[in-house]
Amino acid sequence: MTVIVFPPFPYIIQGMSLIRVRDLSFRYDENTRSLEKISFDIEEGDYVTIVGRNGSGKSTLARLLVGLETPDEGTIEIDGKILSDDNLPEIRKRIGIVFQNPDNQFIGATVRDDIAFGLENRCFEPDVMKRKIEKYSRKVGLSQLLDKEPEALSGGQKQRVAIAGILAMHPDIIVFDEATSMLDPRGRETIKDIIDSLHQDRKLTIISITHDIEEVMNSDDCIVLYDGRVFDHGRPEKVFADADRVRSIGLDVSFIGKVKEAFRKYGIVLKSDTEDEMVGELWQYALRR
Amino acid sequence: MAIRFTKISYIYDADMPYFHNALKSVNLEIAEGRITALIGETGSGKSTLVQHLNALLVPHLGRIEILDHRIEAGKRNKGLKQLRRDVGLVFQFPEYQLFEATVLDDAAFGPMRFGYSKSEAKKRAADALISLGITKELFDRNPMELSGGQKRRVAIAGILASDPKIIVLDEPAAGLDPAGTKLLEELFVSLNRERGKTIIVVSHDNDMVYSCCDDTVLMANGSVVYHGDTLALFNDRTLIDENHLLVPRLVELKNRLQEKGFKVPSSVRTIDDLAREIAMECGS
Repeated sequence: MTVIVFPPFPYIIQGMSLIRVRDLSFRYDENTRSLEKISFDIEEGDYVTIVGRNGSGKSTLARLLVGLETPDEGTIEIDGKILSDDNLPEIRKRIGIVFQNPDNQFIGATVRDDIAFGLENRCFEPDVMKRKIEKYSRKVGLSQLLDKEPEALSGGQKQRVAIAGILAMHPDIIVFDEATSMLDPRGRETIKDIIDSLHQDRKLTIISITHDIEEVMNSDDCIVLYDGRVFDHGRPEKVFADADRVRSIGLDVSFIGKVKEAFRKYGIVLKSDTEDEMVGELWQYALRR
Repeated sequence: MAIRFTKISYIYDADMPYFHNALKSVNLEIAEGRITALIGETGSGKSTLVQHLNALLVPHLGRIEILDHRIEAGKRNKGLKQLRRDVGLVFQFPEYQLFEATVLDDAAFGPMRFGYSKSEAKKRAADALISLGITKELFDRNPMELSGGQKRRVAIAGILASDPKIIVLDEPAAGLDPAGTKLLEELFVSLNRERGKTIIVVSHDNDMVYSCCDDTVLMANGSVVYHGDTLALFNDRTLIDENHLLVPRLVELKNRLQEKGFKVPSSVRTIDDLAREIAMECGS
């Protein structure tokens, strides 16, 4: 039996974060606890990953953040406004979500129509819409596929349509709820590349729920959920430094982390954080021997 | 031979102008008692091939022999129930097929259909659930209340509970957390090593394929382009380049160490093997 010790919560920053979540609790019914007094801040322009076991409350948190569920207790504050029924339509305009299953989020008969759907609801002029569709489909590499039916696309292409549709609405925040987990490796890489390039501009705040540890290591900040609570929150390399602690809550370290761990077992302690460095470091070690 | 495909062709929408030839005269023999990976890009025919293994699809051309069953194109094939008991097929996202009111009833449905008494079926279901880390407290819950990973394991337990001889898993780990993935890998390896089950795994995770699977079948455009030793495939530069394979990270690291001058053998299968070999080479 592993005893999990929750650290005190030291991350409350007094300034204005874009997203401030305080003592958020939610349960689907009386018997199951989904989230219990969750608190964290997310800074504007950051790329934050949320990790945790299946059932730890990650997707519930995503649904709360975009207003698909209402908290039982606690608050979600976005840019100084506490999420409520009154301002939900306003705040929803600022947040987009890409879901896990690429098949469950299509409305349009063609890629173009699908991207246009959100824009039509906002009553943009046809020529503005056209420009926006072209701009954002180019951004995600879909320019050639605008007249295709969504059903004819691969999983990775479908997720790109969803992303283009969201980008066209100029949100401040995009939530990816395991958006790559149903894709093949190539599809997954294209989506991760798009997330990276969106992050480069630093205009968007990105929240990605993921099991992909390599993606986590690439993010600015990582929130670890365990059993409906915040288990850890910080720089990914710090959060994932202690392999035993990470495994005690059903997660795992990165490939490089596993390699370092294996070498340590045979008395070789490596400092490198990339494969390049590691090959060099091992060679130096061998030469000294 | 557990499975023999002879000139199998399968065509979707065969009588339509937009027909799609998903399998093109596939010949394939899979030996009993091995773990075989089935890999290839999306649309290469993996899932179509897998659905032939328990006659969910019947070929348009060719003949399939599985254990002592025979399925032939154009014939009325008999004994499919027995075949489906011998070959347990775990679909992609099997949790979509859960339907009973409780976890235990759901996992017991398969064995009951295959003729076990209710109590025997429940016992088998309970054993299978526990081997997958679904504890007794969850047995009376509604499967729809469980998390995605737990649902997945309940669905797989339902297949294992019928004790099939051949177990086919179509991307079993997609969407599972790392601990769930590891549990599943250990499970099918132990079903093979300890209970002699023939395992076929469809996967996109070449890291897992490399460390867990004896043989690999590589498909492209409805044909088998490689069938043989997994290590040999991923250490063959030409095969990798020709088929645009993603090289397992372990192999990539090992190759770079070899290029640098280390004498690591290409037979290293796990990160631990690699570290041990290097440590020995350095004399520590």
